[in-house]
Amino acid sequence: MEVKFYLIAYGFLFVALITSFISLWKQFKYSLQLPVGAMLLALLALSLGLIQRSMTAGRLPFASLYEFTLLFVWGLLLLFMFVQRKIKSPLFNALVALLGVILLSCASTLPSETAPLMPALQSIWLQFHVFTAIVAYGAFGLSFCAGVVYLLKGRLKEKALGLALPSSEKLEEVLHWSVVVGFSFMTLVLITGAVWAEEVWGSWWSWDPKETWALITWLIYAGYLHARKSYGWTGEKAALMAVIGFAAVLFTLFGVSLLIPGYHSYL
Amino acid sequence: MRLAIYLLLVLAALAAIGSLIPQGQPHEFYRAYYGRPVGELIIFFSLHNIYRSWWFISLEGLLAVNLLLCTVRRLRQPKTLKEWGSLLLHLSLLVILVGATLSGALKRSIYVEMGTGDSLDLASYGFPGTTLTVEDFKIEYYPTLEPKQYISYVTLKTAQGKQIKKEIKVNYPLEFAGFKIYQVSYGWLLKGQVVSNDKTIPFELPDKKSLPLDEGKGVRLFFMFLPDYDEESKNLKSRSPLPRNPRLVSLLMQGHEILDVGVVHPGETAHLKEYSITFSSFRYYTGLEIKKDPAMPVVYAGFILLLGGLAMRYISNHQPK
Repeated sequence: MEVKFYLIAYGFLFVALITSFISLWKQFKYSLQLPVGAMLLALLALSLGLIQRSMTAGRLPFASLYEFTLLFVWGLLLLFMFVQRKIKSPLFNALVALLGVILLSCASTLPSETAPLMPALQSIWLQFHVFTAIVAYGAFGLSFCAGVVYLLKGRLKEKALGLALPSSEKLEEVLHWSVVVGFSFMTLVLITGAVWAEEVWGSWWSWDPKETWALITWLIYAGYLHARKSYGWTGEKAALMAVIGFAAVLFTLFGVSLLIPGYHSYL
Repeated sequence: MRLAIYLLLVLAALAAIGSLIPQGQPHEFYRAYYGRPVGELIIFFSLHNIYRSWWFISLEGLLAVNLLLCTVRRLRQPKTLKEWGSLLLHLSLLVILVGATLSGALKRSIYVEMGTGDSLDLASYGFPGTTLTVEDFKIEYYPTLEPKQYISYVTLKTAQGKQIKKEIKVNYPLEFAGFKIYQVSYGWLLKGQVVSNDKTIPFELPDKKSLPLDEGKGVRLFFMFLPDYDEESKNLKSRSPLPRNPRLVSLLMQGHEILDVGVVHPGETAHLKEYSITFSSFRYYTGLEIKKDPAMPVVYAGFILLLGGLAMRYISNHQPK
């Protein structure tokens, strides 16, 4: 049943993706509401799947890369629900749905067994660490989508899709808001991780690849925030930085787990 | 300020390089793995130890100085809660960097392996008058026999004559008088003796270790413990990690060549060539890390200030309109 819920979520995300693409080309009745509604249903189905998984495993689904990838999509969709009203852009909706589809596809290739928690994960810090990471990653995902819309907007002719694109100010605002949320929660991820590492490994910072890449992500977004504040980098450069930041996020999550051996090898 | 942004990004790039090159390996590893010229370059620029290299630390120092200057500049003019938050945020990062530096200079830690029942005088490790005794070691398993928790039961005798009985578990280190003891590792200790030509060599070795017998010829005994020997299997393997059917496997080796193999119960003797190996007993050892880091409160204070600064800086009605 759990996997069926994910499939349903996948289906709804696909519906959202296709309907929002169609509405880019041709507006129709409820062309904005339909994709958002489909994504809300996807969020619900995903939540049910995760609840089911928690009940089967007897713990929160906070332990493996498979589980975190599902939670990543969950956080992305949840935050999207708060933000979508502010910009009302079919292209933005389509990108968020596409990111959700891609992440769920990635999850389906990962080992999905519900293993019991190994001794190193038997800690209250696991809950804080992963919860803050869900919010941080979801927010960075949104900032990436807003950044891509911004970059596309500069390259598309005003006539093609022109009507469907939100104003640069609105986009920039959503981009900045999601980076601020992501950055704040990423700070919490790093702090909870450090306190936990001190309790479990006896060292609050050890340049483990996962730690290092989480810090790299944090530094890139810190760079974005400073550039914006001091030089008013609000245009394409800022959007590009949000895209680069998200590449670091994805590498921290998948690249480091799959390519580099380290303490965080919890597949 | 422009410098700060470049420093952030340069440090990020360097940290990335460090994460992609295996750190802290011997020099030969880099020459073999990357080939001569690249390997030499890696060693020359300390890319194999990047986070401790003078230039990485100098850049961190530069960032700290930059932070300090920015903070001092801000100190004169904060008016709103937001500005105070920003000030606190930058100040807290400085506190964390200072904590990290102090930690690097003052942290002392040692790793010890102790058999159950063993005692260790911690005087030589910088804790005079303190004795640590491992009373017992236990592994909790899930029904699937996957490990759930590793527990060392210890007694700590202090210089004041106090006796403290505690459990040390993964994620639950023992904290006492400024130091912490962590559960890090465990294994089996195998005890017995080897007799050959009237020579008796008693041994007590951790699992999967070798006992040299004839250094000249390179002859040694390699010991392996099977806690739950699977008699039906053709291979030497254990059915479970529980000591239900214990055996000692002794491999008589010369170089990489296996000369003879013996598998015996506790109390039995195996005869391999001219050597008689008696397996008398086995017990757990626990691997503990004993650590003292007087800089930790500074780091944690930095974390708390950082959280406070972040809240003041961003929580004040930050919503997309």
